[in-house]
Amino acid sequence: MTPSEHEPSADERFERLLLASAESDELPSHVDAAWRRFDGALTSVSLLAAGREGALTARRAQRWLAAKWLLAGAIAGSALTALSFGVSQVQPALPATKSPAVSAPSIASFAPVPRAQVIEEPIASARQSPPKRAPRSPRASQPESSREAVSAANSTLAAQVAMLDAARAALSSGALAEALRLAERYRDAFPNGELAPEAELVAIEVLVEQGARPLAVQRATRFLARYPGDPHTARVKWLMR
Amino acid sequence: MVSQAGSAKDELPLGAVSAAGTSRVAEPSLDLRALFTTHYGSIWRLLRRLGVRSAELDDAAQEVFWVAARRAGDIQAGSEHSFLYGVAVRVASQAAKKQRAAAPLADHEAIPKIADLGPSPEEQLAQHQARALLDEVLDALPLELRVVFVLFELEGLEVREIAAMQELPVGTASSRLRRAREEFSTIAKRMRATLATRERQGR
Repeated sequence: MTPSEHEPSADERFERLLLASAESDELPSHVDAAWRRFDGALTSVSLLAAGREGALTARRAQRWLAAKWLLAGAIAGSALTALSFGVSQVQPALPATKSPAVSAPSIASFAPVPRAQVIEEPIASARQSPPKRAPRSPRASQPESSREAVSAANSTLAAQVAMLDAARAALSSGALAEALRLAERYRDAFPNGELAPEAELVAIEVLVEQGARPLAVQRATRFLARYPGDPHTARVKWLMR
Repeated sequence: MVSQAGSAKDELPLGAVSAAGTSRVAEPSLDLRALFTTHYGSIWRLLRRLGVRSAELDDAAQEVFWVAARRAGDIQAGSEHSFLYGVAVRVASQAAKKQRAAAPLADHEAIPKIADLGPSPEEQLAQHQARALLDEVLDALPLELRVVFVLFELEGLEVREIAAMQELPVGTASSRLRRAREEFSTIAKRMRATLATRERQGR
């Protein structure tokens, strides 16, 4: 013992004994089992999320389909109207390769495509077509305002799908602020939009991910009250666990 | 520098993995299995030392790795251990609050009832008995002191590492460590006295 060391007191020895006892702390021997449990849970969560994604994709596809039919119907109506005015006069406005009435538009075509390109162009062309001598089809007798309304609704739906897709893509890529901004933008632009529950779910997921739990709970509560029968209610409840 | 594990994100409930979170779980830059198998044992032991009860240890350890999976993108290469330690401290703190709400702390005065130490406490303490007593002393420490004490004395971290992990100034961490040691000594001394008294009464 060096002079600088003093004989430890009984209390000090007791303390050292206590601390030394921690050196015998054994590491758990069940790491593999713990990993299997963790991995299993991880897989379940991933599957659950994938299932939800799949469900959303299916719903989105259905809505896309509905949008496609609406768009195609509107465009076909316009095309029929235009055809009734005289094919030769309309064709320049409806090139065969791009005519949605002939070939159904792909999903990509519902991405943020300028409304005028997809929808209004044929109508505008039809409007420009001289209707004077062409026999008017029954469809052509449809009030112009009604056709415009259908077109507007369809383009609105396409815009909703595009905006929601952008929001979800931002969420998936971790761009939380962007996802929230797009979800809020959706809410402002389409307060009663068909995809409002999905957009709100994006916002809730972002808030949860950001740790803004009080806000997330607030919006989740509002979601459940506003969309009690929505398929996403289970997901919202799960997020709030 | 450790990516701080003490942000509000850690308040997320277990399993609240969003679609984005799931994509993070699958973050290719993080080998989750390697992370888990490498650190699970030390995290499990740290949680134990921080006072998580045996029955809850596995769940708590799993929760630590859930947080890591959710925040894979926040874990900087080389700082995995520190990140996990930070999360573990938070998980243990939450567990401690629940435990304290559920039941009062064990009174270390009652220790002799569970530790029949024989003629001389110092000489007769079996290793597991000493370990049980250590837990009792640690349980008697305020949580904030226990954390720095365990991290420094048992886990071997440096004060600056603890300060970074706890998001404290180094001076504050040092102060807590000093107080923790004083408190530890006081409690241990009282415990030894109690044991000695019991020993004399038992003879």
